[in-house]
This record gives sequence, C-alpha cells and structure tokens, in this order.
Amino acid sequence: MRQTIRVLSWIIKLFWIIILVLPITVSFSLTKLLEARAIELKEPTASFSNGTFHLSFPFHFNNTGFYDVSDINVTITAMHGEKKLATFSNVFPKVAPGTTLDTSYNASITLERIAQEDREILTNDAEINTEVSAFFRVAYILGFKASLNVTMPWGAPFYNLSVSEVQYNPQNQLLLAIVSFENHFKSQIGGTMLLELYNSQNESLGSKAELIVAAPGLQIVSFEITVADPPKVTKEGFFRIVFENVLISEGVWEIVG
Amino acid sequence: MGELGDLEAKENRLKRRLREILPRVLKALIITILEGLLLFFVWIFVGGLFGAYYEAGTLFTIFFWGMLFFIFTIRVSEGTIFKYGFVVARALFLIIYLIYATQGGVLTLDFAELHLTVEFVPLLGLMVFINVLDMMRGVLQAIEFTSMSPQD
Repeated sequence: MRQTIRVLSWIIKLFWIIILVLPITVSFSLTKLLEARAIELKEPTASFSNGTFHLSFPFHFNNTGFYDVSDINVTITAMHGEKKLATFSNVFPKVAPGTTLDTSYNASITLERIAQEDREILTNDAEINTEVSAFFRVAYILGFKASLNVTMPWGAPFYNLSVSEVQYNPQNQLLLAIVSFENHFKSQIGGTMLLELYNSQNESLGSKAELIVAAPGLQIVSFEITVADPPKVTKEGFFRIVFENVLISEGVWEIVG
Repeated sequence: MGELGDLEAKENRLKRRLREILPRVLKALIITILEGLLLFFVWIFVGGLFGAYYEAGTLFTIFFWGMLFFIFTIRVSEGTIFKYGFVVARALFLIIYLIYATQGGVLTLDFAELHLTVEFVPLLGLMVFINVLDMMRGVLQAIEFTSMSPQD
C-alpha cells in the first residue's frame, strides 16, 4: 500500500511539472515568434479568369519557436453590410521549429456568386467587412485562435456601368450603343459582354456580344446591333448587360440626337 | 463526592482536549494565513495576465476561499481519518472548479478589436487526471490509516 501511494505521489509530481513547464515554454516560444516577426505579409495579387475573381495573399512564416506549429487554418468571412458574400478557408501544413513556410492565402469567388449575393458591388465600390480568423496549435496541445474584424475596400469591376449613348441609323437598321464603365478591380477582366436592347414596350430589338479585355480604368465598348424589326424601335427603352453569362446591370437607354 | 469527582474528571478531559486542539487550530490558522498570503501575491503578479477575462476576479475569489478552506481543514484534521476525506473533497473541488473556470478548456479573451481564444483541452484533461490520481491517493491513504494498528 505504502509503495502504491509513493508511486502515485511521484506520478502526480511529474504531471504537475509537465503542466507547469509546458505553458511556460509554449509562452516563451510564442514570445520568440512575436519578437522575430515570424510572419511576413507580401504584396497581395488579384486576377480574373473564367468568370472567377482570384485573390492571393502571399506570406512567409518562419518558426523561430521550439515547438511544431500545426493545424494552421485561416478563415475569412466577407460581408457587405448584412449580406454575407463568401467564406474562404485555407489549411496550411505544419511548420517544424527552425523551418519556414512560403505560401499564399488564396481566395476565389465566381462572378455568378457575387451577382447572387449582392449584385450592387459589381457596379459600385464598397467597403467589405471581413472577419479574419486564424487558428494554430503549438506543441499539438495548446490551440490559439485569433479573430479580427477588418474593413477592406472593394473596387467594382464595372463601376458606373451605363449605356451612355444610343444612336439609330434607319438606312442600315443599326443601333449603335456605347457602353462605358470603370474597372476599379485590381486586375484586368476579360470575357464576353452581351448587350440586349428592348424597346419601351419591353420587346427585344436585338443583342450583340463582344469579347472584351478591360484593364483597370475607364472602358468604352461600342455595340452595333442590327434591328430585325425596325418599326419596333422607340426613342427609349431598356437594356440588359450580361458578362460571362451573368446579369450585371439593367437600365434605361435613350436615343440621342 | 462522586458527582464532584466526575465533574472534575470531565473538566480535566475538556482541558486536555482543548490543550490538544488549540495549538493544532492555531498552527492550521497560521499556515492557512501564510498560504493565503502566498496565493494573494501570486494573484497580484499573474492576475494582470487574465485582466481581459471578465470573470477572472470572481473565479479567483472562489478558488482562493475554496483552497483556504481545504488548507485549514486538512491541517486541523491532521492525524484523523477526516484529513483524507478533505483531501478527496479538495481534489473533487479542483476538478469541478477547473472545468467550470476554464469553460471546458477553451478561454476567450477580448482585446479591443482582437478576440483571442486559447484551447487547452489536453492540458485540462491532464489536470483533471492529476486530481483523480490525488483522490485515489487520498482513498488509499485513508485505507492505510484505518488499517494501521496503534503499534504502527
């Protein structure tokens, strides 16, 4: 009995030592990470392809601590006002002490998804509220999760999209429409833009698709639409602009001159 | 005469008991005060770390008075079977307290815009395990105490 009690006492002492030593060394390890500025953020990049916006945030992580940093998971939830646009989540491999991780946080969202959630931000700049949440585990035992709310500016890819000028030539039955917008997104966008014109009775006058590659800045695209049924042409009407099969904007046009 | 002798004997027994108990109570009280002061100073030094945790003060008060109670009762009941009962009760108190105070091993601290969550479920598991071992040790010590003959 006495031996059992003695062994139990030793086990209890050993476990107390582990419990006291582990958080202290983990704290010291974290302090070393903070002092060494272990995380270095690089210039983010943006692109658009196949109807999808891609954002990439490259970073460098140098584990200057004593323990493995594992289960690294970064989740970003993007909101515009009350509307939740998307949730992105990236998992990164474990980083052993003395090693580095050079990688990027990638977030992709389709044009279709944005149009579904909040079409307004395709044609208007906005402040996007993001909740950035990062989780990691040190020494496989202690988990840390830091959450931060950050506001990020969003540059609309079709800012101020409008059919600025419509002219009708009865001789060749052509409607000439000028579509203008400013690409405020950080990279060029390319794809097929379709313009559909309707008269004041909402009858189709015709449509035309143009392949566009829009660099950041002001863009002017002209569409020549052959009207199949000239008597239907009215002085004003409605338009729909579709980009990569996604409805971007609807509005009113008016013949000038 | 016989009654008077009984009363005297009772009084003597009471005096003897008091002479036995009073120093023990005083000793326990002094040790409790000293350990209480130690706990208080530890809190003064490390309490700032938990400043962001809004319930820290209340939780420490519960821990402080709980521990003082057990320090005192264990010291006072030294040499009796009750000591081991208090040892087991202390371990049980610590298990419940640790699980409650750490919200099951997940603590959330708010620093202005930053929300920090620390998850230490495995460590809490180890702390609970230690207290279970402490309870087992208390039970074994109680059995050993009762099985000891006066000659031991």
